[in-house]
Amino acid sequence: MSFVLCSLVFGGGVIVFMSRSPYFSALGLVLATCGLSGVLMLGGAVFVGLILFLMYLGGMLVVFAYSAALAADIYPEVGAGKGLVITLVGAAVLAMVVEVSWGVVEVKGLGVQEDLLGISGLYLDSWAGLLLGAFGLFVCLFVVLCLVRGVGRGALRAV
Amino acid sequence: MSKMNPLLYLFMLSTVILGTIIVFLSSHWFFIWLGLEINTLAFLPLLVASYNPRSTEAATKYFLIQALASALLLLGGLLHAATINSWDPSSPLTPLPLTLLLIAIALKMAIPPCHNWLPDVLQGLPLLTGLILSTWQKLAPFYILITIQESIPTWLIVTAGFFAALVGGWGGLNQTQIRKLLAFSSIAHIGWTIAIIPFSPQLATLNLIIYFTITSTLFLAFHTLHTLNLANLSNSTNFAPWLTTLTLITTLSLAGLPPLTGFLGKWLIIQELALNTNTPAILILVLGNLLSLFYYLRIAYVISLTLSPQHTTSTLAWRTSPSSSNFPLALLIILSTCTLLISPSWLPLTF
Amino acid sequence: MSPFIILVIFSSILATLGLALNRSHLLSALLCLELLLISSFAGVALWANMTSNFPLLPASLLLITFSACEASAGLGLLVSISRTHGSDLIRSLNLLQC
Repeated sequence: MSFVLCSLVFGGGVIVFMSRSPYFSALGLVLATCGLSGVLMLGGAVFVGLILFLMYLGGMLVVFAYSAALAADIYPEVGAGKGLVITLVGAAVLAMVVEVSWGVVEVKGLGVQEDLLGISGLYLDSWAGLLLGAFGLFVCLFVVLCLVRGVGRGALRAV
Repeated sequence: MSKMNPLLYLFMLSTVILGTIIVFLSSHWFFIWLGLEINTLAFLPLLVASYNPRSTEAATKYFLIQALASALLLLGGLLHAATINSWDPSSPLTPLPLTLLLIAIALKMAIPPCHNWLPDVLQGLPLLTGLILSTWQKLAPFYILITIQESIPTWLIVTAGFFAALVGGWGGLNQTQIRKLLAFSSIAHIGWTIAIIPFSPQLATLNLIIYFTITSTLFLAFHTLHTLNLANLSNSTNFAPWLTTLTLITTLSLAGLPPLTGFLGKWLIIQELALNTNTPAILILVLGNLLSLFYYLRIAYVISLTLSPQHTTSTLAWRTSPSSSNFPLALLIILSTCTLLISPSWLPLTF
Repeated sequence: MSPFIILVIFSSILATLGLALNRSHLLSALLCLELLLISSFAGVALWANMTSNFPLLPASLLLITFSACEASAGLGLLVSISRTHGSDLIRSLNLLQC
């Protein structure tokens, strides 16, 4: 199981690196995130893995997909050829090597969820972290609104 | 065109300052990353505050470089924790995390070979935003460098220093745009500053503060004179003769000529390097400074060594009445020219 | 050296190379940056879980929060570049050359 996830991560990374069009890079990023999330869940951090899956894939990458539809080519370059296949096979071999020699992650059962205990500290011990995160998100909202101002300045819309 | 809301500008500026203060106050690699991220994130609207395509492009280049540097810094901290099991920044570093951290700091501070973004980014920004970029944004990575400086091999940082002095000298030789000249002078001065870190971090901080003072003076003076390139500079004698003369003197101070303030930093650095018998480094640093001296003297030539009604290098401009008094600029000019002569009074207080 | 570090190192190397050697789209650069941050997040979360370092787990949540903030700022810049320069091709970002 961890071999499959590990090869998903390596394969996804290779696709992100070697694609000529952002559509396929986004696909590779989705595969890599699925793999990393699976590795996190296998290692016992189920909550964190779910956060990665839901918030990142379901939130951020959907926004990336919309932005790719806005800004990327209408006719993307598809040719990947032998280079990509060879590198993917190499990535799977590397995943096999890593799995056999070290084992990617120590598989923990669903016992005490330590990551839940730790993250619940966000509301108790590390309340400053919660405030800092909230402030960061608040600042980010205004940052993005400042960056995409267009109507007021009469920007030339070429897209 | 629309301007940014002043309250929003002030809010973003405060958040930039908050990010740097978080870096100063943190004792965990993660919070250093957090401070740098807040800093970069809040600085982006300041970069695009003057909404034109050059500023947007400068902001994009700045964002990509700084985001990569922050991510590499976090990765270095993670690898260090995975080997040593400590997230403390002052614990000694093994070579692999140290390399990642040094690359991250070099990207953040525009130390060669990671310096190519700085001239382009400074060119796209108005002078006051470029001032914040050249001065305040260098504080946080410099603090990180001071914190990890015991783990860095001495030869590496001294080599980076004189390489930076050479690149700053050679790069500025072909420039006529003022902002690119100031970018290359920034690279050269940061090179001098980091060359002395293994021997005396206090001297490096002093040199950094001297550099901040003189370069703030120049940025503010060029902003007041509305000059963007050397051709505009030749005009400025006609409508602001006193400020032009003082800008000339400040430029010579930046070049490190005695008895002006810039010489103080360079003198002390040469003395400290000589005490540690590091003569090749002194030689290459001074030769790099000689290269920078050429374009500072070119600025001096254009500003005041060709005066009307003699032959001018460009057409004359309308003479308008001078703007209202500019106290910060006046204070900075005094600080950046006269501080060497009064240094026996304040210099012992710093060490 | 723990076994999961290989995962983190390899995906980080791929992401950094993808960001540095990118010649076509700004969006590809942003995606590589995202992969770099996701691999750091997985590293921090797995390390904190393995060594039961409880204060670091909410820090990993802050990590993913701020990496999402940064990604959205990058996308805002992408939209802005796409408006002023016509597309997000990196070779069209040439207004500031010498």
